[in-house]
Amino acid sequence: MLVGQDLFVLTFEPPSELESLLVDSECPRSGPAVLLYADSINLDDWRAEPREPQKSLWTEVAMGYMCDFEGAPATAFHYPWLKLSRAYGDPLIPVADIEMSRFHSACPDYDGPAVGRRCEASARTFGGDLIADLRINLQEVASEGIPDGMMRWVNRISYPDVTRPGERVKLGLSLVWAEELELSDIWTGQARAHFGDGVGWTGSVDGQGWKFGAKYRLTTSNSEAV
Amino acid sequence: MSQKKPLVSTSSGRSTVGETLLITTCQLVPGQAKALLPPPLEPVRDEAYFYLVWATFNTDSLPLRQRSFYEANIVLPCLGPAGEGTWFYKAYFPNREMVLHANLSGWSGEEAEVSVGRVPLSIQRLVWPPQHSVGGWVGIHGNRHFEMDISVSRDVSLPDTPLSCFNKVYGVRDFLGERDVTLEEHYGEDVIARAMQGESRLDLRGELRDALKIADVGDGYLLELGIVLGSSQSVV
Repeated sequence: MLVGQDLFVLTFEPPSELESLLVDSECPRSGPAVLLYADSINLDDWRAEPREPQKSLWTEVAMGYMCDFEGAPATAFHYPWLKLSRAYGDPLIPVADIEMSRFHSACPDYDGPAVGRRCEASARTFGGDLIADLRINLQEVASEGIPDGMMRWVNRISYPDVTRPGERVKLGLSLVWAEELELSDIWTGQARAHFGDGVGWTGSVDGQGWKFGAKYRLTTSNSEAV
Repeated sequence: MSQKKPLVSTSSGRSTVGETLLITTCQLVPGQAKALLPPPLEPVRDEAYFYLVWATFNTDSLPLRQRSFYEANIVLPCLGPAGEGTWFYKAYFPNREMVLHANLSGWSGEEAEVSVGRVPLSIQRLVWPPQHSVGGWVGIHGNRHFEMDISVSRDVSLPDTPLSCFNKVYGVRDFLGERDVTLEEHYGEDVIARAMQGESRLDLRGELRDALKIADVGDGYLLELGIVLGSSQSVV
């Protein structure tokens, strides 16, 4: 499917308590931790059903880390740390209530990404517990682009098994990547995130923030369960 | 109206809004505008316009959730105390605070679900203006009031269209037996960033179709504009 996204990303050194929640021992961390927010549209659905835009729009929050997978850099976002605003295409994916700064090109005081512009995002559980708040202060154009592996993702997919309480359905690791990738408006700057009870670890982290647009074809390849 | 100029990079304290409007124009049966408009507003044409809107406030002082929103309107062109303008026969908003704002402004506010095709800003230059139909719908408690889509194909000069006075919005209010007319005021000149024309398709819920008496569906328009938010002021 053809996807368009506004992305806000934080890369940071994770405190050990948070790292232990996010990292899968069979897919080890090789770089910084990553907090990602995306305001997303399925461009194929948007074109096919113009009167049903709610079917093509969603937001997402993902917490993970940089890794190497099948010989190349990637970002690992394992369930349940990849959460969408609705169960888009996957009826068992974790969901969350997600908000992001949105900008309009015609707004009189908006002239594109700029030094000092603040990009914010927030995710909560539907019970109202904070998952994470993110704030990025844009400082400069990211002339070297985004880090390798930021648009290539590894997900360990697992669900609670409703037929066997306490057990999980484990579908192993899945590799998802962006083909025909076009990036736009890549900016970077200082960023801070605050995590809350919705994650299970409370605290703040500082790191490098990124804001950019991406248009790509989402491609999936299910690997052997590990 | 003027062209957009380079401006400051962060919010300057005033409330500025960027809006995208998808618009369908319609002809009403003769005499219907007069039947629908509240006095002292007078009809200028037997027409109605359907808006689907998505908008963002460029401010850090509002909660994140309130900085962008959808809106829908059914609009009648009219003559009021300050000349030609429009009046919102219906103003659909997704939360009660905005419905309150509509009713205080003298429009008929409705709390509703609104869905509008929008694209994240960073990828707009890759997919916008759309080369295909875009649209959406408005509904209350799951019952759709209208849905529409437009396909725009050419730039247009707004003063040459029926929408030339679209941004001069009257309201009519009754309080303690007195009626007053309001006019929504924007601080500063509206900036029209894009105006395009094309075709439109519209479907209406039965009661709405019966109330409005639409004779014909006309052109579709895509407008993008920036405003500096003001308030509704009494003009009589």
